[in-house]
Amino acid sequence: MRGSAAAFVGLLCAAARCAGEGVLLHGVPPDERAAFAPAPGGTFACRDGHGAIPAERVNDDYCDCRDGSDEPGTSACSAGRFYCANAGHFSVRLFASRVGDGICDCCDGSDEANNPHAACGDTCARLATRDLGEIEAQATALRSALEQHDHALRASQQVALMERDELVRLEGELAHLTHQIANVSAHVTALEDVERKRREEEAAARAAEAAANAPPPSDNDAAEGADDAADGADDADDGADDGADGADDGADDAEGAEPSGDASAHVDVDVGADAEDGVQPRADAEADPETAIVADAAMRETSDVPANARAADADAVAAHGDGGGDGEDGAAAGGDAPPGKAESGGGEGKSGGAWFQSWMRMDEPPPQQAAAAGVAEPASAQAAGSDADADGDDDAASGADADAGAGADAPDRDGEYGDWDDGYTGAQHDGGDGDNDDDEDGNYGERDDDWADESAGHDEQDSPAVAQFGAGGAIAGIASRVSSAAHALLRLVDGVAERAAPSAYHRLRVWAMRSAGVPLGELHALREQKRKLSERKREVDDRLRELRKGAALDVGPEGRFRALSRKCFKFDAPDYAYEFCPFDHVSQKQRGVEVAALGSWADESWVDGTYAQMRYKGGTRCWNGPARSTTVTLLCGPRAEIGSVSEPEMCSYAMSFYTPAACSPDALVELERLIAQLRGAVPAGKEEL
Amino acid sequence: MAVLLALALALARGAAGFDAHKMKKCEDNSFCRRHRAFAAEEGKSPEARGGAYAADGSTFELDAEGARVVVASATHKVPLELCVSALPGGLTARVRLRELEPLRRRFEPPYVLLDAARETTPLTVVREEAGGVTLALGAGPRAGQLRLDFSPLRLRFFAPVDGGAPGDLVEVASFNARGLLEFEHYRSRAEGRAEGKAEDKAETPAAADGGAADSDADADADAGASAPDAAVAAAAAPANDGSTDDSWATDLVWEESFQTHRDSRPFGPAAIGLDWTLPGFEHVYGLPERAAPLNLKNTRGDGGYAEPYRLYNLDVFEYVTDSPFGLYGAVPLVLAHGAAAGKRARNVGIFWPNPSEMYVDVLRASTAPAPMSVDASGAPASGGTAPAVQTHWVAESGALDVFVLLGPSAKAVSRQYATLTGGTQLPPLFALGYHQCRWNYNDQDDILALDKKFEELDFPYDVLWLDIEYTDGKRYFTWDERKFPKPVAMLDALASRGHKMVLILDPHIKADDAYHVFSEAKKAGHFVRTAQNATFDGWCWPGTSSYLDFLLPEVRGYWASKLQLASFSQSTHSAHVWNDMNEPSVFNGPEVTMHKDCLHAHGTVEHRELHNMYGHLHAMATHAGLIEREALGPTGKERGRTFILTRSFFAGSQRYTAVWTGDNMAKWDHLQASVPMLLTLSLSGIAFCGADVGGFFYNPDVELLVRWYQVGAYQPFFRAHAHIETKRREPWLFGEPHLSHMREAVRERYRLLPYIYTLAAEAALDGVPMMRPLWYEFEEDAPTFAQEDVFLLGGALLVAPVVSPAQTSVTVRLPGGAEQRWYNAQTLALVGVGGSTLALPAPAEHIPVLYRGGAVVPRRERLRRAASQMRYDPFTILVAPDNDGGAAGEVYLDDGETHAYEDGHFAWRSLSYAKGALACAEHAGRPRGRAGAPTGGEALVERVVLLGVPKAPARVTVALAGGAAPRELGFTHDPVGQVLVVRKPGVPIGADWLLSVATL
Repeated sequence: MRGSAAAFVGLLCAAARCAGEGVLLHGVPPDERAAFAPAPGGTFACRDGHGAIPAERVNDDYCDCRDGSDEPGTSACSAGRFYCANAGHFSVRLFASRVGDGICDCCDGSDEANNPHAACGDTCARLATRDLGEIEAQATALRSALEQHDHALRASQQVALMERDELVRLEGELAHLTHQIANVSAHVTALEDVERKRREEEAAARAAEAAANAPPPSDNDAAEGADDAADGADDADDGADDGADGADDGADDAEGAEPSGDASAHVDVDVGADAEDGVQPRADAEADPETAIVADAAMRETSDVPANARAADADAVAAHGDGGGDGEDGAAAGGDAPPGKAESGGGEGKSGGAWFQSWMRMDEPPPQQAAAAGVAEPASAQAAGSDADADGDDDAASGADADAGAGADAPDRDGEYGDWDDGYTGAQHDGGDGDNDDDEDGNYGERDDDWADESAGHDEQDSPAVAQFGAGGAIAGIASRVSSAAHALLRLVDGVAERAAPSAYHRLRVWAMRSAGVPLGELHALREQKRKLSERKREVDDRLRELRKGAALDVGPEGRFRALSRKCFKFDAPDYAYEFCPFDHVSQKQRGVEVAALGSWADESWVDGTYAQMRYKGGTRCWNGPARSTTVTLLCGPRAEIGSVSEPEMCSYAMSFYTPAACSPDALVELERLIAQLRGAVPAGKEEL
Repeated sequence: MAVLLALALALARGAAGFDAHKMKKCEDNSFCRRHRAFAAEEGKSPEARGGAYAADGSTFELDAEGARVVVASATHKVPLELCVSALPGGLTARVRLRELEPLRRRFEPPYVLLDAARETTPLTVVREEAGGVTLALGAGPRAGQLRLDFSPLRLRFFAPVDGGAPGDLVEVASFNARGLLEFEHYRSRAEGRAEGKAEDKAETPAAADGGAADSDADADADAGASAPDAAVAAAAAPANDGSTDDSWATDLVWEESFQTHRDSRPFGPAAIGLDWTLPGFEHVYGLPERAAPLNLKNTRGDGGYAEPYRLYNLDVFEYVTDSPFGLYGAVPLVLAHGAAAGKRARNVGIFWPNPSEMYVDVLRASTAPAPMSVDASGAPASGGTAPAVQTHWVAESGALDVFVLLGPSAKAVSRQYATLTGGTQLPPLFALGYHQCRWNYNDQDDILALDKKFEELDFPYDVLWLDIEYTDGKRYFTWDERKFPKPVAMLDALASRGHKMVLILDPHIKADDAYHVFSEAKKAGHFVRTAQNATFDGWCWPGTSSYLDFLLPEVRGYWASKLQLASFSQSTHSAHVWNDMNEPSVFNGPEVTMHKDCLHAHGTVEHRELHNMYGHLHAMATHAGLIEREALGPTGKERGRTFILTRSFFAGSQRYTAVWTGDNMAKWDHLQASVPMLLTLSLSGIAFCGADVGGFFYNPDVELLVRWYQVGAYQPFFRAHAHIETKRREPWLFGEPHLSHMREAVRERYRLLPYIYTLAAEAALDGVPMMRPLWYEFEEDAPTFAQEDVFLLGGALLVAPVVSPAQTSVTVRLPGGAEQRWYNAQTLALVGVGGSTLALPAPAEHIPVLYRGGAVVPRRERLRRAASQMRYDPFTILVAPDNDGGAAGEVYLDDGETHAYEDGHFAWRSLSYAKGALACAEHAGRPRGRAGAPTGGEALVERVVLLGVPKAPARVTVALAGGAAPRELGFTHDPVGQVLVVRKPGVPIGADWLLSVATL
């Protein structure tokens, strides 16, 4: 019965009984009513402009307009929409399919008003009461979430800035390290070459001697001779060790004397971890859990790395233990740092450094010293102190080395040092603006320029050049200790000269050959330096990769989700636990052990570019199935946390993740509007009337 | 060991596709092997083959039930009784042959045939001749006839010529024309030994399979024994002189093994082989279920399959298309259709309701003796040759009880079959809507989110489904409370918007004493037992499980009781049922099913005897439970209709349940195969059938998915389903325009529901299928006889599926003669006439669908959330006139949800159009509803759409019967499409009225 009556009402609507405005406007939203109230006998223009119909065909339960606009109050047009005012609650637009279907979709019952078989009372007031509480709670939660949202956004932006700085700095360091490693490698090769040939010569000479002196030759003698040579080498090694000890002592001394001595203490230790303390002030440590992570990252980025760089440089110098470089650094330290420290570090350095210098001066002034001096200038006073300290300590250590190894051989060192020091000081004053490189001797300048270009624009010129210089100095230092086998080495001059390039290093090599011997301790130290440089380079590479990846991440508009990029979240479900590290990966764990990777972040992992869903792909492959993946839906919430994890299709996971960063102030405006509406100040749906 | 084996099997299921090696071929079954070998020696005389059966004419007698005569073979000399009877109407004959003194009672399947199948009409002798007798199968000139030849035994059946003169008859089927009858009487082992030393040459007798745990050991024993056995057999062969008799007998084995499984077969061989020749026919259909062409290929001779059609219900993993291999269900019904040039069409059906394993060979003979004919004078005439279809049937056990359906029309055969096994259950209207399924919707939030999405998109649907994962560890009748903490609230939430749910309930019961169903059923002895009389257990989803013995009424009663809300308390009236895995599927059983020597009904029936009806019994028990549950439903819905979907089925299952084609694949060839598969099911009485839209296994690309929706929308049961390992594929996940294409396909389905529901009512009434092959409606249009790429939904709609990618049109030969018009369902314009071949446009938006000229189609254009909400909506009547300007259609109306229609609460309206007038009246050829009973006939007609109207009419009026003054109606006319739309006739569909179109 109900259908016929409903349809009957509609069908006869053109007749008098229901020809009133009430029928014509049934289901019409307030702002469209004008269009639906044509004059009696007039026409209604279909809303899509496609034809017009007599006015009495509006809402007559027959679909005349192609767009369904003539039947806002009936189900006749499938494309139609029905408007319920729902006074006291919220007005809604329904699909025409909901009108007269026996289901009460409007709380005011208007969608079933013409259906005699449906009994839909007005439930709007009851709904309003229920919903008001709910919506108010939502609004409260959203307000608090929005506060967090601002906080999180700031944190994200801060992280972005700090990481960008770090990236730039590390790129400079990397270029420098590459250059250094190349140099040291060249030296190692040269020395190995020299040493090998020397030994060959020596052996040949002994053999010849033995053959001449006592036929038949005695194996024992030859062996003894070899042993002697080996002993000599051992001695040299011991000397190097002693030197290292001395360096430690020197470092300790320097630390003790240094007012801001942290950095110096880190020199010989693993730097990566240490420098934090020194740099902590640069990171804004925030109470917020997300920003705490940020702060951590910031430490690594901003303070860490420069400290690393310095330490690495210092290491290099210490390992090489050359006198000249040390002397300079010591001088630099003396200039910038408190005198006490300069004395302890630089003073030690002088013994070795001056010695080396004296030799360099004899031969030819090493041009790289100027470069080193120039580059060595610290950018900030604070950092300069550290730099200088570090270098000074290293130099001291090197100096100790040099002393232990061959200190006694160095002539006139004081005078030479003094000369050099003057020159250095002058160069140093030019430093820090990058121009210093231009002043360099052409021999070295070219290579150095490469680095200078890369580091151009750095606001902080730290110690790489010092270390570089130190490396050059180290060769000299080694060479200086060569004595006993000089005659043998001299015979090799021609052979080596073939490969000699017009550079200080090659000249040193020539000299080394003349000195006829390579101190094994120094070769060892040189190799160690190479190893440490390489290690550092790897660290820098890794970190750079990480930073570049981070910088390339699309972390949402205004970078709002960046703060999530350094944190991981856990979620315990009945069967499994889940770990979510935003912008990195999702994994499934059981009893703390990862049982499956659920996907990793890749480029373009945002779904549909809306920043509402992210997809992590390429996880552990399912047996007989696809690689696992996870779609994370970001939802607004007061805390960053996982809301739920499910597996809607096999090996394809869905996670809801709450974060204040996903909150929108617009939503609050909307909620507040709804609350105002529900509070009944303005009956819903009538305010526009 | 059993556990490991089962695990390995379970893994294998997931790992690889259909593996023919895991399944038996005819050769692997001794009964099929020997009967097929026997048939291969057809050139020899029946005597030479040892199969010469003859009737003793002196024993012939007629009684009220039919004719009887004693029959024996020259070889066996075991007396058999042949009984031939006819059903009232004289167009259905029944042939039975049974041992007069059987050692063991043969299983005659209960619950398959209706009581009506047992009704008989007296036979009368038409003529007696030497060596035979001709009998009329009933009174009257339209009854069929039977000619019985005594020796060799042969029965010829004659059907009236459709449209011919009274008394004109033509031979349509012949029993034992090829002498392949071989009735293996039950015998003792001693007799078997004496007959052919069978046991000596058979596989090693061993302890019967004690179940899965022993199977490995058995396999070892087999492996060790097989070589010596073979040697014995080889050595023995010469001693038998190679005589066929002996070779036959040597294969009469008791025990036999397949792979690791041993069948103890304690009662020995009891197979029955027989042949039916269908003279004058070239096209045969039927024998579901398999993925094979509609027109069955030969299984002998060239160009066909190498294997016979197998009927053995199995859980086949990733079945291949174009194969004679049997799938999940079985209907042992062969249909033949033909029309010699210039002659009226003939149809015949052969139905052998035997639920044991069965094989059917099909062979077409191009030159067989032409069918005999009888004219009104009664004189038989024969001569000449004609093609014929020869069929050879072998059943492993059970009774020889065959029905011959004489037609003569295709619909008559359907009705005759429905008389035997019943029409389709009239589904509740919602069941004809769109079903959304997946293995598995994870939890109740998932379900509610799904519902919400349909709401948001104004995407109509009726049912959401839950597969096995909703249960607590695959314990049916329980819920996983973590995922579904409030199932009733979930069900009620959906129900509040008119939606239902379907919950899966499989027949395997987890062997867990803490599980109430298991402990109760075990205590009561409700489970199938092994040959050693222990509770059978096998592996299925829950792990070790036992299987309810649904053959027993008390077990069906028990199952039904579990469905009651008092027991399954976390369900509601809106929860309907899905019966899966009921072949039954036993992961570690032979061919993934139950051992044939398992025992039912307290050890009285072997599983082999009823195997193919296990799923039928399961669905029957479920049906009983739901009927009981709905007997006193919610207010106003007493005797609510139920919905069940089953995977396994047998003849008659249509009375209880819908059927789907099981675990198909998301491949174009499976979309293509779904059409002949569903047509075959439809012709075999399973009218309410469908295939998983989208394909169960694998991920369909969106093009395939959309095309599948577009085809599925026109198939009787319309459900999207997907395997647990596939990606989600709800329509909105593919974005536009695909979502709109799928939604439009679904919406069109809903608009057509009045028409589809009427087809369901017709199928319920008399078994005429909803989905029909072209030849079913165009019986004399020979080019359609093998056509399966296009199908008809009812008589009015032609559907041309797109079954390959990147297709933008479908080339269709329109069925019918040149007078047959066809109209495009999208544009409503005339597209062509019968016999023409056209490329019909198939843009992404839709597949080609045509209205048949001469049809009237009731529609409801209003969109709703679900079918139940359309009940009161007004109708649109679409009229597609034929060449003579006439058209006819019908619409069935009732409440769509209760059994009140059984009390006459329905209306069956006729809508006929002629001479510019559309008349609505009670349908004269259909049952009459009770006057005054609520039917839904109050719904008004809001629109009449007339196709093929070249000029705008002068006026259109409508007048209610009873002298009311005609009322003038508004209309619009489209001269290009030649469509006239009459606006708001406003007359109830249940009233008699006349709508007149007056031309200028």
